[in-house]
Amino acid sequence: MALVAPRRLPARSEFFWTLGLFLAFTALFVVYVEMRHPEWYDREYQVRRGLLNDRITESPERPVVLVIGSSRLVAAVLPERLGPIRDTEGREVTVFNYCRIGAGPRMNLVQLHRAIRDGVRPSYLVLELVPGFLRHDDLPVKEIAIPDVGLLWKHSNKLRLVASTAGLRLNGVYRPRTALLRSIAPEWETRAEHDRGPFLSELGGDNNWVLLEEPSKSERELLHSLAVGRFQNRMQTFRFDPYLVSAMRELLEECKNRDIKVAIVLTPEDSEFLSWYRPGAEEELQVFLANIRANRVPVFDSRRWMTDDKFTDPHHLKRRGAEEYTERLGKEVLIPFVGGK
Amino acid sequence: MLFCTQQYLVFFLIVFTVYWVLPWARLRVWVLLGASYFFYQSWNAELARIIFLTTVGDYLIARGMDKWPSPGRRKALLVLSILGNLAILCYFKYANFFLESLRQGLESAGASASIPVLQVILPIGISFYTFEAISYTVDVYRGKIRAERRLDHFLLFILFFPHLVAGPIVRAGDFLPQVHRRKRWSWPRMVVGGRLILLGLFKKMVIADRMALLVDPIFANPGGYETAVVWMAAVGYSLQIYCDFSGYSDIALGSARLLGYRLQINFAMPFAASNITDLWRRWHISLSNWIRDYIYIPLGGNRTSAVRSACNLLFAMTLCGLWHGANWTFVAWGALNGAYLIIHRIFRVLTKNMTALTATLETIPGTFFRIALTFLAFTLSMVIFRAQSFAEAEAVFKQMFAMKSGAGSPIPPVVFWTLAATVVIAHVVALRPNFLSTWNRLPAPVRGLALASFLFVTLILPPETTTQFIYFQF
Repeated sequence: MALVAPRRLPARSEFFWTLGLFLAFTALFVVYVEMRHPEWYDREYQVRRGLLNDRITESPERPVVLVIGSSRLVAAVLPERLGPIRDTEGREVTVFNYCRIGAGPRMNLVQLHRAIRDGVRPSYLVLELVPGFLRHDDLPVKEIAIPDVGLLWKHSNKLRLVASTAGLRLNGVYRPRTALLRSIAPEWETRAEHDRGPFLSELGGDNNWVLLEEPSKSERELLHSLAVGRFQNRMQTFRFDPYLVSAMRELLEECKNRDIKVAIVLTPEDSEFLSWYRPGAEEELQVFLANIRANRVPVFDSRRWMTDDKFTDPHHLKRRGAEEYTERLGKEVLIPFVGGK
Repeated sequence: MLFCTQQYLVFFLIVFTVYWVLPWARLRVWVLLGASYFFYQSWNAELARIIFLTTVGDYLIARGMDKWPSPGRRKALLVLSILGNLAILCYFKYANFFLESLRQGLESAGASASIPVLQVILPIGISFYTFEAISYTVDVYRGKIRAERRLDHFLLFILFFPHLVAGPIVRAGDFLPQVHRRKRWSWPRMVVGGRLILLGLFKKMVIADRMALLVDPIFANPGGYETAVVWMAAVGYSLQIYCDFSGYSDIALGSARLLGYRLQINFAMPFAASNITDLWRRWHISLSNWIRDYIYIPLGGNRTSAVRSACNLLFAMTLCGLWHGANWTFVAWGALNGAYLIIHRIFRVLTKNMTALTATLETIPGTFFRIALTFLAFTLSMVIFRAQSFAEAEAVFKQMFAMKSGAGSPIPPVVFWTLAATVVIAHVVALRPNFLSTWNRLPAPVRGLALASFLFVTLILPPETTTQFIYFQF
């Protein structure tokens, strides 16, 4: 077939028909994915959303407490280890780990809006604040769909946002193929991808996915170098990025408008991580937090809660560290915050 | 830079655009040369320099043959070129293999030997461009072609990026006249090139990469899988290597076609072959032809006694096996295929006068039987080809013929059967005599719809992980 050339004019029209129809198919497919299946771009969100929907369906009467944040809380909050927590009216609440690996203020905003779009009405939000992410977070263009792009419009460099998202749409068929296959022809889904997880408990806690019992020397070195690469310079040149602060403010504003009670938690860092803060950064951070408190948002600083031996790297906990942290979070943050005690 | 990556797509689109925008033929050659050098040095810059220098050496030697008509000098130059090319090939590809074999031989004879291991990196595509260079100097020596006067044209013959790393093995007599010929934009050529690339991408990304998910774990641990599944892996590997290599060749041919060059086809529906001789006329055609023209025929070919001719065939096919890689499994694979070819010759001689048997084998069921038998023989030989060692091949064969239980297929069987059926249907459809004319008679929108859908499916079905083209290692 391929080696015999058609005549000139039919060849040209064949080329343009092929190109035109392929572009049309791609455009239709991209619009379909963006509007109907944004979760195809983000497997972790897809899994958490499914689990959260299941919990809400099981106990629709329970108020929902969403924990939103980055990989620190993906690993550190194990909701199954919390005892029953009741709100001011005595109703037991569902605490769900709705974090996402790599999430900074902008992704946290996206996560909240995703939950709301999916019909979740959280009564409480435990929001992580990583000071380093107020200096810089990675624009989460790979994981988001077009409706989320609008959400990030005010909080990003517009040229970069448009260029990155448009560039990814050029590859609009190939990129979400695994999620498409999972949904329409699961036997064609690649098992290797499936095996990578995420593996989560029923309440979104880590289920032997990212948490390590005791990292090996090489694992520790690798994780340490990643943390150093990502955060050391950020903390040594710490300042507030206006885009990221505005994203966080919008999230708080959104919660206020929707009557969602918010508590902010600064998550654990080991002594090495804490040593990276440039002189004066802590004072500026405390001023920032005081402004948040002034708006009646409680702030819990758990950065120094854990001893260094509980960390796998300068800011992620081991399994037993996560268990200890979750219990303390329950007692010192969730019960007072949700129960009004 | 793999052909099936976005990196190659961007690279090719830039080269394609610059190439066709330039109105000067000489500059176009230089653009292709620059692009080819960039393409190769994206793997290893130092090795790119080595190829460049050896190519210049072959150019000078061939020019020397043209300049000095004395047969003695011409022969000396030919020997110099062949030995130089083979020396480079042996140093990079076979030195450690021979040293290791020597060490094992000495040890098995009871002698202790301390033989060093050379720290060398195998240049990608070395077997391909070495054979191209050798065929060039031999053809110049035989007077089949004149030595190329322009260095840039000769460099492009060897370094042209579509065929550089995994063939097809081009001949100077086919390629160099095309460099001289003025290229004009042609829509039919573009469409044919595009179709070839699309076909190659489908073969590689949808079939070969998916089959790798079945084959790799089973060959890594054959004893852990049940017999039927190991058979699936053996068949799967035949399909994988066909789709991987012919997919690469299709993309190479398509890329070259889009730049105005025509390369020799490398595969012609090999699994439709009704005997092993026919299969070798359809499988890796450029290598088969090279072995025939530069090894088998110079050794005497079919013009000698039957026994001598059979020995020549066995020798040529063993060398063909060794060409694939520095491992005794490749040598055994080549020798086994040589033996197949000899057996087929003997069978033909013995059955020449058995008209009833011949007529039965010519019937439709008989043809199916012959095709199936050929495929089976080839598949069994590919087990040796795929195995890293004889022990691994033995473990696979044991599991295939011992009816053992074990784990199920690493991929759902429906996926395997769908892909296998796709290859079979493609062979049947492509071999229909009126298929091409029917296709070209279809209205352009229908062809466009079919090709756009094909591209869409090609982008949706690949697995998460892609593997390097198998023939890159050769």
